[in-house]
Amino acid sequence: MAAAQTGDGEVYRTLLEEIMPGLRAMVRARVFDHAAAEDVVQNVLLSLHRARHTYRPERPFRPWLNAIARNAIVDSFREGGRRREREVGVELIDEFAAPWAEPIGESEVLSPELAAALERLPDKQREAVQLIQVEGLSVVEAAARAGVTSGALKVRAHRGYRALRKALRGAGI
Amino acid sequence: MSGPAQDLIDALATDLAPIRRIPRVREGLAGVVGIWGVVTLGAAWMREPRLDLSIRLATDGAFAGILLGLALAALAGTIAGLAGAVPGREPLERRARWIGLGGLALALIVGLYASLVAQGAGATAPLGQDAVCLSMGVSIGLAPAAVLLAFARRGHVLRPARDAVLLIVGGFGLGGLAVQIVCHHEGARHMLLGHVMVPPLLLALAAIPLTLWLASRVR
Repeated sequence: MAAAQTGDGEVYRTLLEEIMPGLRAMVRARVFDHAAAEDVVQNVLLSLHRARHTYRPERPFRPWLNAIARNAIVDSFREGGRRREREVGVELIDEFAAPWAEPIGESEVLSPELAAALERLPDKQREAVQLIQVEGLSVVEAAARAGVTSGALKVRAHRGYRALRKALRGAGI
Repeated sequence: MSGPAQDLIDALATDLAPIRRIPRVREGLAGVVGIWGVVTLGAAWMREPRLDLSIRLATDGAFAGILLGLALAALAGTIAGLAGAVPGREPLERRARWIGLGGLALALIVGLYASLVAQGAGATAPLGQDAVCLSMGVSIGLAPAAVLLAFARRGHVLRPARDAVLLIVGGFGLGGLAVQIVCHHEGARHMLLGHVMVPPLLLALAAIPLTLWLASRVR
């Protein structure tokens, strides 16, 4: 995890793959429906990713992981039926929010700065942002269109928003 | 392994950016106490520093009990508030939480008992001094509370309501403690209303908004 905190993606991938069996077992002990359990596992992974800066190398890894996983599982239960709705509205979560208030819409003209910043995004991130913010699709619909999972699309859109926000700030907007 | 979870892992691991680690709990504690020390020294300098602290500790049981209770509430509440923002530090948070809340209860019980027993006898503070000390405690507590809040904002708060209570007890407990140290007025009723009531007042005013704010950060 310490290496992942320095930006080593390969080590991070290996770590996440290694903890997956344990996470799955932990989730499936509480969630019996297979599809729902997979959703919860993905939520746990996203929580873990968002909290990765709170790991301290001098502390043991397992209690840190378990605390985040337990909490994410409880949250998933607590949200219950609202979970799906929240996934669709993930753009409302600060960290995943677009740098503008409303979806842009296909008919509206983008500002030159925004259009240029959008153009500079990597293809996958641009596609995610366009599907959600320009075409106004929900995360689930956009994920289906892009042929990836909702979680993966959220991550792409999040990274796109972050890059756009940085670009717009750089342009003084 | 394949499937949605693997896709998500791939997406998370691709272009992974380096991140800055959250400070250690003890570093956070040093920051909070350091800020509090500076503000308290400033407050003591503005009022005349009192030099009879050790004499009062030895002779005034209510003063010593309240000081001990506020010190426990402030320090343990601060440690619990900091630990609550770091996943995996639950055992520390749990221990500190009970010590902190126990300290606040001790200060309240000692203050209440002493003010009831000493009612009509002994020194009393001038009218209005309770409110002056209360507002001073709140003002001094703002700085450590802000540092605590900044730490919680950087961290990963797992229980917003619990952490809101602990941040207030820790931060404003330090405010009450500072007033207990620098205030020149005596009387158990004054210490209870002007010093000990700083954290409970803030709990009543700010616990719910702070809980909602913390919840909005983690949900």
